[in-house]
Amino acid sequence: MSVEIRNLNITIGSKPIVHDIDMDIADGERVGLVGSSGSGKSMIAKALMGLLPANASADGSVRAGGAQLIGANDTDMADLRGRYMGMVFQNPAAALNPVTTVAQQVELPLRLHYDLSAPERQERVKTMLSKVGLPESALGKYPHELSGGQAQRVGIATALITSPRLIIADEPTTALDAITQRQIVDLLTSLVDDAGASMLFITHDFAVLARATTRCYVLEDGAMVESGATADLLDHPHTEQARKLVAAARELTLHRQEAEVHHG
Amino acid sequence: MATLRVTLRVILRSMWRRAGGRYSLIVLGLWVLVSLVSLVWTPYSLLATDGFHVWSKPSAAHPLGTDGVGADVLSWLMAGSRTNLIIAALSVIVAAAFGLLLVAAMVSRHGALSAVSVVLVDALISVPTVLVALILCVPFGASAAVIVAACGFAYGLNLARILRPSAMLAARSAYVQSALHSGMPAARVFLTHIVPNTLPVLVVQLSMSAGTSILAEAGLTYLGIGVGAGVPSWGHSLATSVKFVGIYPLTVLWPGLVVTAVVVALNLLGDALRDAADPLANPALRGGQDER
Amino acid sequence: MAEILLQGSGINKSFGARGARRQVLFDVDVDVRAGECLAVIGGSGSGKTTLTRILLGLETADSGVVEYRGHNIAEGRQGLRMLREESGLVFQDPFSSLDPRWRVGSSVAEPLKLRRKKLPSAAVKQRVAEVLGLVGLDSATLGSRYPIDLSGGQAQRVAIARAIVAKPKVVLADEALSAIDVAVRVQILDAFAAIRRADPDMALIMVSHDLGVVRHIADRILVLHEGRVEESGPTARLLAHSQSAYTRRLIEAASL
Repeated sequence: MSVEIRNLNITIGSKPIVHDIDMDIADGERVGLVGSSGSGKSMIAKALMGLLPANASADGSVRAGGAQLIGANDTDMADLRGRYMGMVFQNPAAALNPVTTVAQQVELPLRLHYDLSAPERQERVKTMLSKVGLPESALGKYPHELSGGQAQRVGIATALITSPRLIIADEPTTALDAITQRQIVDLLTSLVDDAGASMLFITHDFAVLARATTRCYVLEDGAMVESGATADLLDHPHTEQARKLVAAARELTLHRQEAEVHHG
Repeated sequence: MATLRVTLRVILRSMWRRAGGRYSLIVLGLWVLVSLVSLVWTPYSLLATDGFHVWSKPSAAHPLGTDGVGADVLSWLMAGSRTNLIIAALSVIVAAAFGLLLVAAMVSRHGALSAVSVVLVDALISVPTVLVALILCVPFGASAAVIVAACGFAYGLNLARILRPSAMLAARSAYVQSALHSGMPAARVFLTHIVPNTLPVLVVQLSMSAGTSILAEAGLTYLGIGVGAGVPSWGHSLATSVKFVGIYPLTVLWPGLVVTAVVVALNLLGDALRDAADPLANPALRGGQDER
Repeated sequence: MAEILLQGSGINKSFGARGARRQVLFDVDVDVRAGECLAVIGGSGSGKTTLTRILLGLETADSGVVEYRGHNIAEGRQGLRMLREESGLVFQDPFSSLDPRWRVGSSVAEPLKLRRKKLPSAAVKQRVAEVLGLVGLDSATLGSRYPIDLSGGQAQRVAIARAIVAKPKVVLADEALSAIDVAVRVQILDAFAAIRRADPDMALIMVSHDLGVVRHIADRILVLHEGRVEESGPTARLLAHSQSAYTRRLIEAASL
């Protein structure tokens, strides 16, 4: 089991943010976490990454790769984060350091967590870049020279360079245009599958979720209201929240037939 | 008008709830009260000197003692408070007017005007306040007006520089674009959309300027380029007694205490006012929910 | 055919300093008719925002002509003034398009007060309540709130109400849905549909990167790709019989 969360409660001050969360991610599984803004989905991701804000308190059990994260000390957490997890963020432009080149950016996790020679590192960075579909000429570029889609490819390369077993992607496509969104989702899922890693994919968009995950959890007001195979949920949502999210996704996408009239 | 009264009451109540706000309200309230009282009454006339009782210790007749010419220290401090109140108020008004005018130029959509004003502010800000006061003293002579002009000039420049980032943020925002598109004149956009959105920085900066004007008055008067001789002010009380601090420390202590108390109060006022008067920081102003 | 409100012809635009100048629009022709909803679709960098900002007089073209109701908006003042008085704007991020230190009611009333200076305040209040009602918000409870106390969906509906409060002939909505939660986007689309029903002669220009969000509301779609018009036509025809490979990629990207 890649991730095992039991009875997770997170409060900030006296305000409960999420309560009684149970969640599993099996090895090699792509799992979605879907909910409206303010539902607490990002807070769960932060708990998993050990990046909860200082004024938040968590209890329950969060295990990743066998290690208990609740109450883990900062050094252990940083090491686990670096070796076991990779993170992809919503706003790629803001997640990249504006004064480092793409090569330095992607190399950094290797330098921090692995004992490799410089040529070995550079070799890995080059391979990784071609995997995410960036040309070698991108190595020396700075973030402001990249488009949103390219920046997110760099983000994905940075997350995957250490061959992590778990990818946590927090709204990785929200800031991108529709065509780029689709490309990034497809890229991310195929890379995760190729590596045999597992992924937690967080989004408010069921249409994206349907493409990126096989199983999902629906979060509302800090509580898990529904979970199941993504395809089943898309066809038969049981709870009000899931119905709302699915209905919105259907309303705001073209139906297969509509799109395929021409191709057909 | 009724809503304005309600708003004021909410602001005052929010300030009162915090120790810093309460302290500043009490001290500043006393300051204004004493200034007003001094217009009609002081224990002794400022001109009343008693040659037989110079440098006397506090007594029933002279609660804070007398100074080197036998004048009542309390009376001079009371009268001085209104001079400093006027200097502080006018300095703040001049600084706000001058500073906001500069900010308006700096965030204007005329490239040349904004570029020139930014350079101008950066250049002028390097001129020391004392130098400005000295220069102004040559044609006009030492007076409270010179202090106000020098302080207003220096604090206005500081204000402009500190406000620029938040003003720029507002000026580039979609709501300003929207207001301009609807035909709102640029000057009104500045006053209604841009200035209110610099409020947190503005109130802190202005109240600190008020405090600094008191220190400046004391410094300039000591140098002989402050309020004219014979004009009561806290700086005057300090300047006339500071030479004798080794022998008669108490006469320096009183104006020193007053200046310290008021400057601290003004600095605390800024923080308290920012937290209480900004609708984004104070939920009580936004319709009363979530008041704490 | 309804009257042509806005017509842009041969529009070119470049950005950047002399050395690194980049052209973002190439000879674009576009027209907007009274009462229609035109969707301008394209990926980031397609020039869709620049084009529509030029149409609304928010930016000027390097070359080309924009006419509003027959008046060239670059010549004389009348055309541009009419356009400004008769148009409304909705932006991507509702929280940055509402002044955070203004109450919602004042923000909505602002364009009306500026354009009809003599309107008595009771009439202003009534119109504000009317437009807020139109987008599904209650003026009595929301009018005195500040934007910080609104949800994203509420704030965007307030912005829509403000855009139409002075009864514009044309409204530009630039990516008005993309910063909004998917579950709430439907509400925003409903609000747009409602303001179109309320004034059937008003034209609505919707800029988006996503065909999915505009398919129900747009009468006509203009696809921009790298600064050029890729294709344009009625929504149903464009979705079913697109001639362009790029449009087909957009369709594919918007499919579930």
